[in-house]
Amino acid sequence: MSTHSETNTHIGNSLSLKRIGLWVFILSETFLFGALISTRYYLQGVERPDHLNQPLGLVISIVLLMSSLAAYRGEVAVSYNDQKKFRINIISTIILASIFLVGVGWEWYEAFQYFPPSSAFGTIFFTMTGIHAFHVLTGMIALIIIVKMGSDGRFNSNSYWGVEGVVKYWHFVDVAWVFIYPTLYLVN
Amino acid sequence: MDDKNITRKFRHGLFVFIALIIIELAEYIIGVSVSSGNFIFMVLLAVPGSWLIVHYFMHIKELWLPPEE
Repeated sequence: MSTHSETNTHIGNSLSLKRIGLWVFILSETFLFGALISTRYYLQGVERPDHLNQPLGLVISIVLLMSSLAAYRGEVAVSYNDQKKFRINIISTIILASIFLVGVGWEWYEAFQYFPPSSAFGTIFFTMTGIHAFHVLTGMIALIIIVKMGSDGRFNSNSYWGVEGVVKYWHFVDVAWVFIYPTLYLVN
Repeated sequence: MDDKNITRKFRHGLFVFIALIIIELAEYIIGVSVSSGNFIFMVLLAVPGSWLIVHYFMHIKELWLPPEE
């Protein structure tokens, strides 16, 4: 009996350590995005170019928030062993992430005409959106992997750290965008 | 029982999402209508927006809760 209790305590401690490790990683990523955001104010102050497509920025922001909601629902579903809802929601997250990336691509297409990467704002714009889009892309790959692992029956209500870790990372990508969007498109 | 819990948590997530959308829309409206000096409004809206995600979606409080058994 005590062995069972000790095993459970060990699993609990192991999960806590994994969570701490992930949060330390997220903190390090926060420094990266913090540095990029501060660079924007250092190079450009609070000046904003006229040709920014603010409505498109709003639309892709809402798409990314929708993807966060879908990811949250996917994590909740797997925590209750509802595999069908888990798959539907994580696949929805991947689709919404793809739409977000198409939106960023559209923004880049327009941005090249008005503030090329050689200009101060262009440097900031392409670096920030590019690094963020790269995080979205890596998050999408991780989401695809957990859908595949879920299809193989690797997650259940007692063991779903893989889903929790990837979904937390996905939410972090959303948090970063919550600051990047006003910093690039709205501050004036 | 599980179905009820899932529905409750889904609804909970939806409320957080609606709050985030309201914040994004407020940011957008202020960003396009206040032509100068809107920086402080952006900070005041982005911080609670990110807190909603970190608290309700990322469950940061798990870090200081005792390990699950």
